[in-house]
Formats: sequence, structure tokens, C-alpha cells
Amino acid sequence: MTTFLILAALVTLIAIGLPVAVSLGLTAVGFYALQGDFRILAMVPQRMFSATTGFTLLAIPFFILAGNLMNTGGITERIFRFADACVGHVRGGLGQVNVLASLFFSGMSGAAVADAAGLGQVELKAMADKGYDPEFSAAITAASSTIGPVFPPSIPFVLYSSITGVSVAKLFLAGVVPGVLMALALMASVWVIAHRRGMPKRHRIDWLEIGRSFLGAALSLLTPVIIIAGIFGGIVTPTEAGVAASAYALILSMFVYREITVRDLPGILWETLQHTIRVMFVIAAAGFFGWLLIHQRVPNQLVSSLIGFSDNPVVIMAIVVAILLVLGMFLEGIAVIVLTVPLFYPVMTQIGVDPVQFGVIMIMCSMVGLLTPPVGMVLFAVSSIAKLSVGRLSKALLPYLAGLCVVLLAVIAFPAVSTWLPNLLLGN
Amino acid sequence: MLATIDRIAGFILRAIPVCCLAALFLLLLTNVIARTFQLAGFSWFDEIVQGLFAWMVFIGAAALWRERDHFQVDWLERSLPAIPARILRLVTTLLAICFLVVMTAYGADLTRSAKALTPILGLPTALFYITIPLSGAVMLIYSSAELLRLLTGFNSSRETQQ
Repeated sequence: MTTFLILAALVTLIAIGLPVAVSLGLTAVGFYALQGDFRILAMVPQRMFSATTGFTLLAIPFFILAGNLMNTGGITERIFRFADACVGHVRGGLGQVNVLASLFFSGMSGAAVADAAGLGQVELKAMADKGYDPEFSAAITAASSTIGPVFPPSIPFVLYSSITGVSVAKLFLAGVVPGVLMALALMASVWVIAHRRGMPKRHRIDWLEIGRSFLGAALSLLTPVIIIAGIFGGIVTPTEAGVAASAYALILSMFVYREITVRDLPGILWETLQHTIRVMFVIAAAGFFGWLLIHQRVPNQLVSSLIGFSDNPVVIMAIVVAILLVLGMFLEGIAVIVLTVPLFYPVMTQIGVDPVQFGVIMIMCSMVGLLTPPVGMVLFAVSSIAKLSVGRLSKALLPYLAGLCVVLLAVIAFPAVSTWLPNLLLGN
Repeated sequence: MLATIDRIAGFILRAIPVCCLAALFLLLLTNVIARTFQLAGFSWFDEIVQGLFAWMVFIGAAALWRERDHFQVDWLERSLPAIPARILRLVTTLLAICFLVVMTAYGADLTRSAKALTPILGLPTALFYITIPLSGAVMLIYSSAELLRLLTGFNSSRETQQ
């Protein structure tokens, strides 16, 4: 009953329009205030402080900063041009380029919205110039931006790691295969749609253009190498890798490509902070809310209710995934992670699901949520850039959502899809 | 007059987290370079990073509060006619104020009672904690102004400008 009341109060507060962070904090404060236990409220600032100042979480602003610097510093355009040279000749041309460019971009930034709002603008403009249908262009731009948080580096993985203590390096590696599968699923969807609509294609590969555009983008494409080699070589922590990627993007943008100046930096830093602080304030408030959950033994009650309902792990997993997908329709992805990881993580360990595999499932569910109405951050970002209604964009997204759900099912059904690479390189 | 104060407050609220982020970037970068090339070790590094991070997050939260830019689900308010939407806004503002009062009051208590010094630099930990009541107080001021506006129908200068 307590569990139900706490969760119902939280959902009601969010639904009436209170900021998510305040809803989390107020639910916990209200619970203790109604019980007359005001002494516990002294923990509100303590929990808020300790929840937000962990060193791992400091990776979040720097992976966003790297993405913003690439968007304003000319790196994004170079990546797009190289992707165009590589797969622009396949049927569906720029749709395929869109997916490949997002895969390259996701190796440097960890935020879907940075991809949708930055690279998305380049992609949409190029597709409009070539006469592509605006709904087709906007839908593939939105869908492909969700590869970012699954393929390393990834902000949601950093967050999941800070809540559960699972290694960030393992989680980053676990996202590689599902990220590539997402790209392949989206490219296959584009190919099918392009065939059905009889879209034109370029007849041959221009090897000279591939070489030329590769030379132009080579320095940019080194960014994921710096991040991955730095983390897995034990040279830097994930947070420091974010700093190194930002520093590298800054050097390229200011001194090599000369597309930004010192005057542009305050604007870029503020844009980075907007994304960061929205997330961090939710984490701060969730610090006290999470404490309430544990104090009231909510996760334990949830474990026994779910296991009481069915002892079949498949059924329990199906229920958890269904809840995550439904929550994702109404809440921002980060809020879903902060809210549900403390609840479902004990359930998953109880039924024997690998914590790394559950991390990937969790993040993929929240990515689907980014694309679904009524609350989908990427949906809103792309609909505003493409000047297309959310309804039309949602409809055009359906085939790509189907592709992403197939990959999600593969990650759920076959643990090796996510766990094989981290186990191979880092051991069990 | 109020509009000028609001503009200055908005500038300061943005400038503090921007400076913190820039400082964190330089500090972390210097630390990586110094460690990689075995130039020096900064034992005080963690203390400063934690302090800057706290100031960046909590003052930044106040800046976003002023700009109504935190994550929220506003489809219910948008789907209601004007008067029920206004009543709903009144309720959510009051609820937000309840939380902000707790955050500010207990944050101030924590700051007052924190007598510890950081182990290496000897900085008072209160210097880090004070950012919570400070941020809460700024958000309270903006929410109270919003409440007043909703109750009196008075359009604040900022809204008029928008």
C-alpha cells in the first residue's frame, strides 16, 4: 500500500505539471511531513548535495560539451560529408547517410538531443536541398539520434553506473553491438521505404570523394579513438575522457577548422549547462526520493510482488519492459532512469539478469521513449527544427520504431548481444 | 526597475555556472596532462572540483528555474481552458513553494551547522553547502513573484517583455 501511495503521488505531481525534480522531492518531503517526522527533512539538502557531486556524474557536462563544440565547430559537417561519400550511393541515399553520420557522431557525444539538434540540422538541410520528403527526413533524423546514448560514450550509462555501481567501462562496451545493430536496423528500414517509394540512387561509388572527405574528417573521426583508447587503456577515467574529447573538439574547432572564436565559448558553455543542469537537478531531488524508497523498503516490496505474480523471469522481464516503455511515453529518459533503476535493479538481480544487460535494456527503452508522444524530447526537438507537427512526425517514425524494437527484443532475448564484448575484453 | 534587477540576476545566475564549468574543464584537463606526463600531483584537486560542481549545479538550477526550463510535463496545463489552467498553475506554484521552503530552510540549517574544514585546503564545508539555500532562496523569490502574478492578474515585466 505504501509503495502504491508513494508512486501514485509522484505520478500525479508530475502529471499536473510540477517540474520532475520538484515532484520527486515533494513526494518524499510530503510523505514524512504527513507522518509528522520533520527531523528526517534535515536530510533533504544532505542527500541533494551528495547525489550530485559524485565524480562520475561530472562526465555528463563534458560529453554534452564535446557534442556542442562539434556542432558549432564544423566537425559535424565534415562527418556528414564523409558519411555521404560512403553510403550516399545506396538506395535511400541521404537517409542511409543520416544513420551512418549519427553512428560516427555518437562515438564522440553521449546525448541524443545534441545529435538531433546539431547534426540533425545539417542532415535536414541536406535532405531538403536534395528534394527529400520532409516527413521521411525528419523521421530518420529523430530515429538515428537515439543511437548516441547507446553507442559509447553515453550519458545515460554514466547515470546508470552512478546509481548501481556497475563499471562505466563495461557498460560503454556493452553498448557497442546494440548501437551498431540499431544503425543496421534503421538502414534496413530506410532501404525498404526507399524501395517501396522508388527513391532514386546514385549509381556508383566515388572513391576519390571518399578519400577526399575522409581526409577532411579524419581528425574529427579520431575523437572516439581518444575516448575509447583512453578509458580502456587505463589512462583516463570516463569523466576525464569527456574532458579530453571536449579539449580535442575545441582545438579542432578553434585552431584547425577555425570555425569558432573565444567569443562563442560562453554561449556554447551555457547551452551545455542547460542540458546538464536539467538532468542534475532531477538527480539531486532523486537523492532524497531514493532514500525514501529504501527507507520504506519499496524495492523489496516490488520484488516480492513481481515474483509473487509470476516466477517466470520472461514474464517479469516483459512487465518491467512494458512499464519502462509506458513511462518513457510520459517522462523524459533521464527521469525514467533515475526513478526506475533503484526499483527494478533488485528485481533484475533477483531473477538472474546480468546488471550490464539490464543497463542496455533500460537505456534502449528510454531511447524509444524519446521518440514517442506525448513527451519525447527528440520528437519535440526534430519537429521544431523540421517545422513538422508532432503528430505527422510520430506517424512517419513508426517503421523506424519497429526496427528499434526488434533490436530491443534481441538485446532482451540474447544476453550475449550486450554482454559478449565487455566479457571478452574486461572479463566477467 | 524590477525588470533591470531581473535582467542583472539572470546574467549573474548564468555567469556563475558558466565560470564553474570553464574552471572545471581547465582543472580536469591540467590534472590529466600533469598525471600523464608525471609533472605534478594535485592533492587539493578533489576538494575544489566538488565545490565547483556543487555551485555549478545548484546556481544553474536557479538560473533554469528563472527561465522555466526544468523538465516538466505541461500538456495538462496546455490542454485546459484559460481559467482552469490558471488555477492549475496556482496549485503547482504553491506546491513548488512548499518544496523550496524545505530545501532553503533545511539547507540553511545544514550550512550553519557545518563546522568541518576540508582536509587539505582547510576550506569550510559550509562554503559548499551554502549553494543549496542560496539556490532555493532565488527559486523561492521567482515562485513567489509568479504566485503574486497569478493571484492579482498582474503581468510581471519579464512576461510583458516576452
